[in-house]
Amino acid sequence: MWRVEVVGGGEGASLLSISNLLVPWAGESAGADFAPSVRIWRGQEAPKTWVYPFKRGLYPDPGGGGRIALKSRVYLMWFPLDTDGRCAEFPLLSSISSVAVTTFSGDQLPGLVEEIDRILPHLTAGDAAPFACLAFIAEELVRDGHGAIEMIPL
Amino acid sequence: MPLTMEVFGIEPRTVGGFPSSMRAALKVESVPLHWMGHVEVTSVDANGRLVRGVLDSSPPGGVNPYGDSHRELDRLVRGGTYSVLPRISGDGYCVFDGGDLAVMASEMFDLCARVSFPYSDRVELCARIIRRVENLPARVMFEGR
Repeated sequence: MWRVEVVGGGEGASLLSISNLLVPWAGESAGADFAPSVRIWRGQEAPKTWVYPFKRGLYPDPGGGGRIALKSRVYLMWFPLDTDGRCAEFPLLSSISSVAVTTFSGDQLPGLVEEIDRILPHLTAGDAAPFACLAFIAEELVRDGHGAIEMIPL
Repeated sequence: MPLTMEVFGIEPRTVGGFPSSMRAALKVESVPLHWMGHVEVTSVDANGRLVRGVLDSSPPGGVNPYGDSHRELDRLVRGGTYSVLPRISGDGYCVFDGGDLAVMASEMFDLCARVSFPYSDRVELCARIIRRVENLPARVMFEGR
């Protein structure tokens, strides 16, 4: 779960933030966040099915030096992870770390919008709007010509 | 106080017994809706600098007592031209989804194009956000104080 904040953007963009953004490749979604075992441990109702088809495996968090948060992400059919935890098709989105603040700025912002637009058709109803809003923030910073997005793991 | 606008995804399932759509949200701070009595004020601070801000001055009933321009805006919004904008309330939570979103975005753009008012760029910002999500399962909530 991440908090999204704008740093150094224009007056409009600086009014924007996203709370509790759930990232499917980190095992979270608005439909069924966290792995079933975590949900049971938290005392939440266990999901009947996993919302996104996924494969188990060892996919480390790129921000964690390869070993930290080893099980922090899952391989999704439409978000295939390499063994180093990155995804060649979505290099920016897969760089979002659950153990460190991830920053997107400058030339990365149009690429981030493009990657989000490609994952939107795969997302659950509850996840789609927050990611569209993340794309909106990136578009605003592109319009402003300055500023950055900070993804802060919660 | 100006309103806060939040955009949620609508998920039919629930997580942990509460609506999952309430977990992630884009938040827009300080959305001034002048027809509800959010009036721009100008003052001078202790250092002699000019300070501009937005003052919530709406009395019960939402009639704006400040200035002809705001009265005109109030009449315009509530005069029958718009269908969704007059339903935005500053009293607690006010939620819109479905077909209301496209209408709300169009009405916000139309209002900003028709008349000039302070901080209209923030209303346009909200309209652009709503336009980005209007074709998705999304819910827009305004929260007043």
